[in-house]
Amino acid sequence: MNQPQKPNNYLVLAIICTVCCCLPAGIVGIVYSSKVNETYANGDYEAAEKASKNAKLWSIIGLSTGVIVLILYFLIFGFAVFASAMENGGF
Amino acid sequence: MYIIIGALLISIIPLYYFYDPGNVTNFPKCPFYTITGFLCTGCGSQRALHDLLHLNIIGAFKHNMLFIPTLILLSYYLGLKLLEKLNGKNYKNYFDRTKTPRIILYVVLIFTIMRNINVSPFNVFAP
Repeated sequence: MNQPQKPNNYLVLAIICTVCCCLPAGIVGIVYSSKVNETYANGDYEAAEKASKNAKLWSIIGLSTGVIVLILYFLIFGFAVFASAMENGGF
Repeated sequence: MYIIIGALLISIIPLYYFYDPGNVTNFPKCPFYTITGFLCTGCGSQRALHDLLHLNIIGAFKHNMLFIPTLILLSYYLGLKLLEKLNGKNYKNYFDRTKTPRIILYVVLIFTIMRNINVSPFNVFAP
């Protein structure tokens, strides 16, 4: 039986995404990750490839949203953050 | 890809060592919590990281119970990938098992729902 290689399930990326910033996108990423493994185990390789692409897409959407929000946050409140950090910092 | 993420993570560690996100008023808060008012899965992980850097494991557990297990999972994965690169072999990876992502999904969902219930036994999970 000749099997194609198992597509990457991007589970780690989805986990990082869930914990760090964007809950909804991270959850979607984990769902697609499980789809990759299950469809591959059932021998449906095309579906596994599709799910793999989706998992990657959603995790990257989540992470980039998080990074953009952080950058915006620092642009708006950056000065305040550092000012308060200087007051309360452990130096 | 992983190198970039790693470099970013290592560069923010000193920041979390010196500043306590629980005490500094203008520290970036979780956007999900700010918008919806619900605690997300990762809420408390900044405080947990601060505690962990000060070797306060109990504090890290109190702020986010899943934070340390997540770190262990991630280091397991990265370590395995490193070994594969060094030895040129393919090892059996628990992340590739059929049930793993499903189990993680259920754990994340149940944990997130439980920490939002503001009654006594479930308060344990809130940061």
